Amino acid sequence: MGWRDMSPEEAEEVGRKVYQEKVRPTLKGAEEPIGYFLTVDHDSMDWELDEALHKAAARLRQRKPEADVYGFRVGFPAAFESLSP
Amino acid sequence: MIVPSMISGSVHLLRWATIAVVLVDSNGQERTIEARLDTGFTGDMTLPASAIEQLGFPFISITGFRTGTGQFADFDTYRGNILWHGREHVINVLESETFPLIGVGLLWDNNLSIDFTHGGNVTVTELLET
Repeated sequence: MGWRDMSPEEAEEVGRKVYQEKVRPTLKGAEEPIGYFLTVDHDSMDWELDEALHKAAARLRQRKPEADVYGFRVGFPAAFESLSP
Repeated sequence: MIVPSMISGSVHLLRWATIAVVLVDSNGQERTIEARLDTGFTGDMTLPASAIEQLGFPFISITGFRTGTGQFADFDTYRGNILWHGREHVINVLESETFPLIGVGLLWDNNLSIDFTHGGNVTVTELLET
């Protein structure tokens, strides 16, 4: 099982949950990192946060070279969007 | 006086505003490609799988994407290098089989001017810090 076995909607739901339950408690009253990229490893649910997606992914892979990484964006429904269908 | 760096392009008959950008492959070689500007796309850039492979850009992650119809999609995303206003930048490249696109991620902190007519001028000028 990995991110590729889930629908994008299911993945976004997991991303929101990880943010609420794991990331938010670490903020300790600091401003919410709206617009930051959140990367999550599927198996461990280990995460990283950075203004740059590639940095958030690289730090996760430093700890877990085989990480199955999905990129989310805090405060947005998806990391990226387009107005075209 | 500091003159801001400017990138120029032109408008195609098919209503595409295009510019040529220089990508830097994994061996440090520069490759120029034509890309369409898409101000509805919030990412940096898209490239077809064959181009990503030739450039040797490494895989970063799967990323979530919301389309104009509100549907969600997954995109394989790679770490790319681009020469932008003469300086090398790291960008997120989404794999897509469309004509290469440049989005607002890369256009951030720039002024974009487009004359929407066949052969019209396109200019991307960096916004200088004041």
